[in-house]
Amino acid sequence: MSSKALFSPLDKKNTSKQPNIKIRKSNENFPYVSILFLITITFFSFFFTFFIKEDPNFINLNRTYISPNTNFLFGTDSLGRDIFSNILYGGKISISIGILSMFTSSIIGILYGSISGYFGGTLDKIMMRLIDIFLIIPPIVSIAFLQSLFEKRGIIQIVLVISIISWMKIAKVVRSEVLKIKQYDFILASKLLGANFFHILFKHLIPNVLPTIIYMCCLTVAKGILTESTLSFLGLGLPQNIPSWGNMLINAQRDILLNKWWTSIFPGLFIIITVFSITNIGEYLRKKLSRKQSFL
Amino acid sequence: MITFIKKFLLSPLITFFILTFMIFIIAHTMPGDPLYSIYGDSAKNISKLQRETITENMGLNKPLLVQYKGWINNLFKGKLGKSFKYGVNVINIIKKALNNTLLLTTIILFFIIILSLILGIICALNEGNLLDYIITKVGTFLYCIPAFWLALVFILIFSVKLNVFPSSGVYDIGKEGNFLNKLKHTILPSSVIIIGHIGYYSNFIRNKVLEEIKNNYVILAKSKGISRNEILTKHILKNIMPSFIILISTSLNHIIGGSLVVEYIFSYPGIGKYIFESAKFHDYPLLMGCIVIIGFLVILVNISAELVSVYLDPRIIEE
Repeated sequence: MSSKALFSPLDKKNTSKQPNIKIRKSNENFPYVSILFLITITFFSFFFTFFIKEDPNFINLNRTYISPNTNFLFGTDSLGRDIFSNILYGGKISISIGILSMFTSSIIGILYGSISGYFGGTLDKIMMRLIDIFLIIPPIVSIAFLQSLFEKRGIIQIVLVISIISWMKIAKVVRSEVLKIKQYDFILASKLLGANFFHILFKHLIPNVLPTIIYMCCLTVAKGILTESTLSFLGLGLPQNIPSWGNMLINAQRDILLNKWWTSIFPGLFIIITVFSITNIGEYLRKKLSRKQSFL
Repeated sequence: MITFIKKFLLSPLITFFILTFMIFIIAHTMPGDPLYSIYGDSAKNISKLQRETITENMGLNKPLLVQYKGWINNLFKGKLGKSFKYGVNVINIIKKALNNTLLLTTIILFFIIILSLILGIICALNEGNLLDYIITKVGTFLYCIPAFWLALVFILIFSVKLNVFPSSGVYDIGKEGNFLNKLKHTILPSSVIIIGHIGYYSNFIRNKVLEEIKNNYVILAKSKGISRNEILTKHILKNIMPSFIILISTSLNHIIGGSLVVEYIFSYPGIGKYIFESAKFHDYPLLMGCIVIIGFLVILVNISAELVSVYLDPRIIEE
């Protein structure tokens, strides 16, 4: 303390030197562009597909590899499928996979984390140790391993596998939050009134933990979309007849070597922009919520 | 000393055993034909009588723990079984592949550490400037690009259009011993991973430097007349390094995972190519062998990272 007081003029000088108020403000601006893009892409992929008459799996060998023009906005692929309408169809599947895997993995993560944090002691130690062990293997490898064990692969399996792998980080954050929350008096009061663990979990722990893990949830949606595309590209994802953004890239390597760039560039761009928008929104929420907490 | 042994010998060993146990249990209790994992797709054609004798011979009817004991015994003897896609002992495949993967991963780690230190310090010194904003945003954006897609774009630009770098393999035909040629083949795969991960680590360094810069020892050093560069390299960096090394070692699984995917795309004959191929063709002996080897490597790197950070900052072990 004393040394701080000694150097306080210097400290002040240091802090006053940092300008950056302008940029910081723009940094925390509401992510209009991201939200607008996300709403558009989800709206179009979920509702506009009703108006497209064309079957996404319709194969027309008369029009393979047409480069982008006014008729086919993003061109056609090796089987003559229109890439633009396939992107809309694929968005529906890919975004649903991201959101579904977010829900399942956050349910697992919240339950695991709150049990571990609430009961503490040896149980907590063992549970956290287990998470560390799970995290040793690269996630994509564990997902490929689990996927290879399924003979039939569908949307449910892929959601299951992604959420089995991605709940650990949520559980860690939930645990550290629960460790903080359980020391408050309202938990003690609730215990004295005879509440059991599940009452405390649903009434006190989850509502207090949710703001902190919203950012993680956004990241999980983004990671889910990325993982689905990687898996499908590796040939371990959805069956070929389900159009998803990953499945559109399954022949991308061959097409790239044939110099037919449009078949892989456009689906990839949609994946990137969607994931980036979700990450941006998540980051905004994190900043907003963490600032609110400090003012409380 | 006891904490030392406990931390660096006992707990990694336990971790390794639990890891192998989990891999074994998952592979053996999943729904489906157990013979599938040995005979692959031809398991459907085995008759009932043959099935019973095979189950008896392989010991598949014994309790799981006994089976696990046999498997782990074989593992330490180096017998991981035969890959039925290649028909060769798994160990031989892994030995060859491991060299390539290690070369690639070392290059990736080296450049990630150097570049993220440089970028992070640049960002921290220009905190709030446009440069800082751009580097941070671009870093986040690059983090959102799927590695396999970036690899494809690189192949399109550098191999197909410009024809500067090779699109696959570890060496050109006839140049097997040439190390420079080998390095040339690692440029594209490694740069994909480096570009994808650099933002995350440089952001970490940036925030850490900003934290450290506000400490009192910096003011003391400055009042002693030590130059800015010297404070940065001798004091601040030394304080950051332990946590940076720990961060790298704990997020190593992401770097390795990314490089495995990229290996597959560039058909670089490392572990990654075999992992995804064997997952696709249900080649379980090879798949399990590769996963165990990667787990072992990650544990090894984690221990050495902790040792290095303890050496740099002895206070860590007391905690």
